[in-house]
Amino acid sequence: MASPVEHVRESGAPAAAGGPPPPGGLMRLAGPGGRPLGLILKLLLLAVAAAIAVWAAIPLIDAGNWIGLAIVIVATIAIFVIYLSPRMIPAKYLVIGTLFLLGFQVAPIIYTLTTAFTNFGDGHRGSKDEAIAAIESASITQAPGSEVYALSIGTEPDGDLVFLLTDAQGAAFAGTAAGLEPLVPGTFSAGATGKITEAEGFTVLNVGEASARGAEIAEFSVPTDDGAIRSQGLSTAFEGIAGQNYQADCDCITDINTGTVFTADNDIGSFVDPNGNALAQGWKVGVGFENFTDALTNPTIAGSFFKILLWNFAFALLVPVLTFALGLALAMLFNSEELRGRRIYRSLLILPYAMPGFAMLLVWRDMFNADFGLINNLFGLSVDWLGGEWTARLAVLIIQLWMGFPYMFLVCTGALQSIPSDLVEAAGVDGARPGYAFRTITFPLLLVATGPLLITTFAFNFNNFNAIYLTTGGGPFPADNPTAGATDLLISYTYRLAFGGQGADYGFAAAISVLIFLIVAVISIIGFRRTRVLEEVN
Amino acid sequence: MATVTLDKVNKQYENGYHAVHDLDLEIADGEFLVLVGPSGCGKSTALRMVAGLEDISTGVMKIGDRVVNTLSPRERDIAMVFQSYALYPHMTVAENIGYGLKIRRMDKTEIRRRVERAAEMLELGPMLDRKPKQLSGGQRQRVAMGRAIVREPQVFLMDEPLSNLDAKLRVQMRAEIGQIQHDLNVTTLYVTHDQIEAMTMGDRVAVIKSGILQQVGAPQYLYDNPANLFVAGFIGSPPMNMGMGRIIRHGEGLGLRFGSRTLALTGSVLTDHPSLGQWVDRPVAVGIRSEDMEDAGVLREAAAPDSTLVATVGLTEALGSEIVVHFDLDVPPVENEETRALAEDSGADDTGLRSNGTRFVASFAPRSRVRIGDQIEVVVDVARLHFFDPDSGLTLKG
Amino acid sequence: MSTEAMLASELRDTSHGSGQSGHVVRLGSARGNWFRRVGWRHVVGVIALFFAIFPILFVVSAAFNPQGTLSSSTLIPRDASFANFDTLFSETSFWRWFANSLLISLLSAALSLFISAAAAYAFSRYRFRGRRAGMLFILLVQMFPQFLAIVAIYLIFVEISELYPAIGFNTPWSLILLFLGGALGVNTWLMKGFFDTIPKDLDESAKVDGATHAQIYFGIILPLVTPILAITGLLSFISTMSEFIISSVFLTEDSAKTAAVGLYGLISAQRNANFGVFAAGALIVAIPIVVLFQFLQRYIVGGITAGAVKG
Repeated sequence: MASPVEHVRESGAPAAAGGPPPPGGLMRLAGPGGRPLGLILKLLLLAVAAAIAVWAAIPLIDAGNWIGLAIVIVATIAIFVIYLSPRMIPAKYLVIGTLFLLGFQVAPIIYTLTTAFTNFGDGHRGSKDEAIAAIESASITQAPGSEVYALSIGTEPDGDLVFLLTDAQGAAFAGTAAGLEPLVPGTFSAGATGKITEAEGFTVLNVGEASARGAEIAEFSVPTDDGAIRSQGLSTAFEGIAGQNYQADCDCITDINTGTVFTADNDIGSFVDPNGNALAQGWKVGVGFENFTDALTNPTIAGSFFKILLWNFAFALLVPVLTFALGLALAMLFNSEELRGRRIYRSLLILPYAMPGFAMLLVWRDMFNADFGLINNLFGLSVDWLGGEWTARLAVLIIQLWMGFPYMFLVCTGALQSIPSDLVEAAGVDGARPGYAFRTITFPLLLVATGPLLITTFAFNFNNFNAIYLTTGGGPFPADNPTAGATDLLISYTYRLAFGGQGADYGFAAAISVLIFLIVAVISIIGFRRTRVLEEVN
Repeated sequence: MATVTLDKVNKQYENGYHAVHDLDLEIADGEFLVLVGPSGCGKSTALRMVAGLEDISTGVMKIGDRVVNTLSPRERDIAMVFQSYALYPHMTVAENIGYGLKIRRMDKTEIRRRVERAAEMLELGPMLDRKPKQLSGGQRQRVAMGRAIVREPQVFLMDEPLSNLDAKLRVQMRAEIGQIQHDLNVTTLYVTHDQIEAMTMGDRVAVIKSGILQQVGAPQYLYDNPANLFVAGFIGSPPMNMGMGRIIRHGEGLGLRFGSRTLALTGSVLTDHPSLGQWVDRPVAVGIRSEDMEDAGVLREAAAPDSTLVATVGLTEALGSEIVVHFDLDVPPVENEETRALAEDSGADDTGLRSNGTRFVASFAPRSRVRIGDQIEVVVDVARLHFFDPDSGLTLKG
Repeated sequence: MSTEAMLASELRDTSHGSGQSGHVVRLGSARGNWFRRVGWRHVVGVIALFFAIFPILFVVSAAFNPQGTLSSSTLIPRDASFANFDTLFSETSFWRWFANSLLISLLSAALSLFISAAAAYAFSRYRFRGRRAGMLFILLVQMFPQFLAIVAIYLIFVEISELYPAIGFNTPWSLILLFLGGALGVNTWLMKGFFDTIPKDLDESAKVDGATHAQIYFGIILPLVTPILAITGLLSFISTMSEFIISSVFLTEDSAKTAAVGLYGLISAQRNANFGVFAAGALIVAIPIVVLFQFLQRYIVGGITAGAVKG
């Protein structure tokens, strides 16, 4: 039969029978039937990628950020190679997500990991040079008879602050973080008080704009030979001398007024006097495993750490167990064909899951309020729920039960429906009582279906920051230890360490994060192993 | 249309598993070739290599004059019918059938024309707007066929397309597929583990075992002249009976010592198998087809004692046109790698592995009145005996 | 004994009883049966409903409470007015916050769905080097408490804000970009499990029909996984709508805030006095989610476990 061949040829598909076979390479380009639309789309997307790369590269070049530029270039080349190559098909589907993952998850995690081995935190933020500069500029005081300038606040084109100064003789200067530069007469104009109102190359801020950056201005200082120029208010500046000076030969800072010598201790990143008193400003140094050993061995820290860990486990285990138990019970309750209004029940029961979580947590906190809370009003109680150690824990669990059971209800309803009913019927025929059939057939099958979800629920609740932070805030706190409360999870405890009122200690917080990560990872991996999810990967 | 040529094609997986060994196969233009073998023998792998769904480790694969080793499936101009049918659940029957044409940017009216013609051929006309879920098994199978037909490809590839159908539909679709292939005259490679399908559908049949091609030929040729024990046992239903015997000198010529009896090998047997003389006093594997035995009681004249075997009937199945009789012979079973592969394929059936001998199956004329427990004399058509080397499993040549 | 067997024996008992004791007893007994089979389910169901609903009722009642304070809010409103809503709309940038929330949540849900589904397709359909390691890596990264890396994230975005103010702090893009970092995550696993349930024959058939990998993905696979796309999209939309820790660090300008950050600001400042306004805002935020939920309920019941069964 010849006609099909003819059709094939008409449609442009290769027809080896009629004539010399087209070479493979040509075919791949034209393709049987072609795909011009796909090709145009692909080129369009690559053009967009190139445009984004150029857009991203320009500020990096301006700022001289060569590492950033290298990353942009490598990422762009990777995208072009992967999408232009006919091979590497999996990479086409993975590369975008991977880039985001690396940029916004892996990079911060690696940074956090490295931070865990430093003393990074309040007082230990920057390098040693930055610390010295900060100490010196902070110690600047106005010496009697020192120069006073009329001050205008300006900015450089890139937005950096600049002090535009006029001294008593009318000479004008531009003071930047790098130093003092005289302004050429004629390139600026000054007002009656000597304040500069306009200067070439700078933007002079008005009072409103300046006061918006008030904190920055108060910190700003222009280094000079004897000390530095600092602002006093927004319209005057003075030259002061540093009360504490750094000397490189002894690697120490001397206080001019008291004569105390603070010697640099490069192990702890602080300047320390012979009595062991350290200057508040230090610098970031590596401290090895000290943060980890502190967490595990320092008696006060370790004491609260293990207590919190225990409650953390109890919380992370109880929440999935309780929500699953309630969800399953309700799913079975409504799994009866005879029950009317199942749809309505179901629609209403899942409402808690659909309400915005942060808002409902705050509402629950207020419902547990001892004085005017709804719970006490409703049941005629006068319990100080969030004030007592155990009532607070109970309250937190009730809240999480409320937040989580609808999800488990949905999951169990789906799982119950997916279990073939003939299995249970077969057990019935074999003589199993309903309770026994449930225990030996339905429940194990349910666990198989929902096991991975239970594990992820555990992992999620192990770090359920909102559940604590928005309700009890970790409290109640024992009188002797205001950093570790009765309902604290490791993560809320860590948050308080890192950002709490008593000075941030990012290094230590990072170390705890790493410990949390190890705990969750190990438990989850064991859990997944047991449910054989990982074997599916093979 | 085109020939399909496989030249020393190999498939070896990364884990070292060698699925297909040096496969040489040539499918002529318009031919229907069936690749048959037990499950896991590499036949599907071979088919998938033709389709381009598996890489070819070594060797050359040609469709027509083109070497297609590195071409993607879309460039090979083939159509394939899957065991599961692989219908797209979210598309209607018409969309399913027309999908390959749409992908190739064929004109819409032409697609509709072709789909309708195929639907008519397969009696799917009223179903065109339904989804696969609403079809019966047989209808789904037809849609899968339709999808292959409309493409009008150079080669049809079919991977056990009938194995999900019930027995009755299978017989019907077997005939229909054969008819369609005959009408369209498209080169077809058909994979199955069912030797009946192979025998009834193929212009030629290729038997494959453990990735190695055993024999290729017309169905009847394979049935009459199996190259080895495996082909002998795999092709034919019921399978060929096999037992160990010994060649001896008998009267003027040779004889086959088979259990307690001796069968005289005379005349045409010796001229057909001149090499038998070299096997005197050596054990040989003997194969007897069920239809080559008869109940001595139904013959008009008494059979000579050296042309019969004696046995006790274990089971009878009266089919009307014949009586299938199972009995145990006092001969040792043939035990080597090939018979074990056969036993595995037939579900480790205990055929040939009985302690009190070897079970044989014969089909007797319906006039036979044998019953379970009877002691019977079985006449053997010695001219149609098959002799095999028990070590290599190969047919004794010459 | 199966349930049916039990029911059957019960029925036998009642019919037996009717023969001896007449109609009244039989009716009473039948009603007892109804209660034992179905009625008690309603009783328990109503109790469960109360537990599920009363906090929501409280929010509704507080939102319409004209006094607008926490201490004057009750479960059943004594009086109703739109005063809190008026305050919310006139004295705060609520609509702006709400629009920001919707923009951020919709875009990051849609984009991360796109990224995640593509990755799930690769993991489900292709065998490549690093596949297993990649999947494990994705899972492990998820176990790191992301928001504890917030110092690092903050520093990264300080840099980004300086270089590219258009995607820096106080823009929705900063949050969207950050959330896309989590697109390859648990959802990828969930979807991969669902993708695995779609027979590979379909891909191969399409391949033989001449489809490219992209045509297979968009034309065959994606239409078949709509339920799981709907679920993961919805879940990620919900969690983004509720996210507020990172948002509160990133979005400090009033006009850039999301509803979560803005509403939290209301009651962190004036907890008692602003409670009614807060409740009104929370109610409005809940509306789109509740509607979506009722709409997609059918998918959710089947979809979550379908993926979970396969892992």
